[in-house]
Amino acid sequence: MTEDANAIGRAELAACLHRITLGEHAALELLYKQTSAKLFGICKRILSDHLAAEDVLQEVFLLVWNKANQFDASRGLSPITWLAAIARNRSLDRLRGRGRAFAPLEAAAEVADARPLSDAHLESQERDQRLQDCLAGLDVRAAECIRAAFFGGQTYQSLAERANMPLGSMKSLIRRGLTRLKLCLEP
Amino acid sequence: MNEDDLNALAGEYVLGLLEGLALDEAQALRATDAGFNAAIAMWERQLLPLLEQVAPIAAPPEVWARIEARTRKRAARAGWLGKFRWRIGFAATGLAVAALAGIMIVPPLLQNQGRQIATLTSTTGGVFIVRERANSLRIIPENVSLPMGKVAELWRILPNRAPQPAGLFTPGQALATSLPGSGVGLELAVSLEPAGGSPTGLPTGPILAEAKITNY
Repeated sequence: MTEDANAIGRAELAACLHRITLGEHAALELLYKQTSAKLFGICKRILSDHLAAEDVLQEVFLLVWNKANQFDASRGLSPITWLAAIARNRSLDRLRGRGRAFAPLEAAAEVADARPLSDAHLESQERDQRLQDCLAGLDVRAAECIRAAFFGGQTYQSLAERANMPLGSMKSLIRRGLTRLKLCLEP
Repeated sequence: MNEDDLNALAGEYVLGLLEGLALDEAQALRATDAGFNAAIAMWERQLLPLLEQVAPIAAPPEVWARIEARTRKRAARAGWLGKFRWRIGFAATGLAVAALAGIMIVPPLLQNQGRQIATLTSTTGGVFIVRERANSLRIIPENVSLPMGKVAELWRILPNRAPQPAGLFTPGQALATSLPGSGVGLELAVSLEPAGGSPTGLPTGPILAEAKITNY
């Protein structure tokens, strides 16, 4: 995605979603042009399988076409985050439907190193930075597992098996991590 | 449950770590516990932006082609409704307009069946009364006038689907049609068609009346 596409503002995407609720097909096409690469990246990250990711991407846009009216800016989510959350949920559903695929933990961990988006997202960048800092302050295994769960659709059982830890220890590790993360993010 | 536990549970929920009984419990909390929902909203606000940092990958062009094929249908249908919705002037074009034989006096029995949920005004005069009962709808024409040799045909339209024929109105009789799922989103339309109904399986004449169920 180019810098231009990254700089697409929140208001512009929200306007696009509004036009979609009115049945404007051109708005759907515009939204697709502006967000499909980002959303496809998310589907691919979670699903690995290329064809499954294509299917889910299609599903996401059909859903948006029919349910754009469910976007509610008042929830505090930006339009792109709302769309990204739909792509993640649908991808996780697909993953669960066909049994779990085990993406390597490293695949999730590398997210932390991803280049930030354009300056247009300064505010969200600051928030992301805080999240990165807070994750970095956790037990390294807890942070890795939290990221792996977020992107991998893993269960405690699968995380415990991968880390070669007893189930109970994995649960305490993550629950402690979440409690510390909350304190760091919203003290 | 103390606040830390509630927050951790909400975090597990948003991460997708819960399954089985734990997931059931979390879903039950979602329905009843405002604090739990606030904690979920907090985790979503904090964690979902991680998704924005995933590197974009261009999707193959076939994906848009498939989305377009599936969505253009609805856009075309919206156009079809839009085209005829405003043809109010139809009745005044000098065509011979005859009352649908029997003048649609609704038998008292029919009137008492179910809850009246809508009254659709026909562009040619008269109304279609929609009653709901036990997951089905009855559409009752009253005083609907039609040009000679024409019939009124009922269509049901589900979201993102082509109109489906749902019967021809005959004098003095209601048409019944089932309510799918919650019913919300179902559109009903009545079009004017040649005797025997639409020859194409899709509406060909102007819309006499239409309504969309948004809530009931």
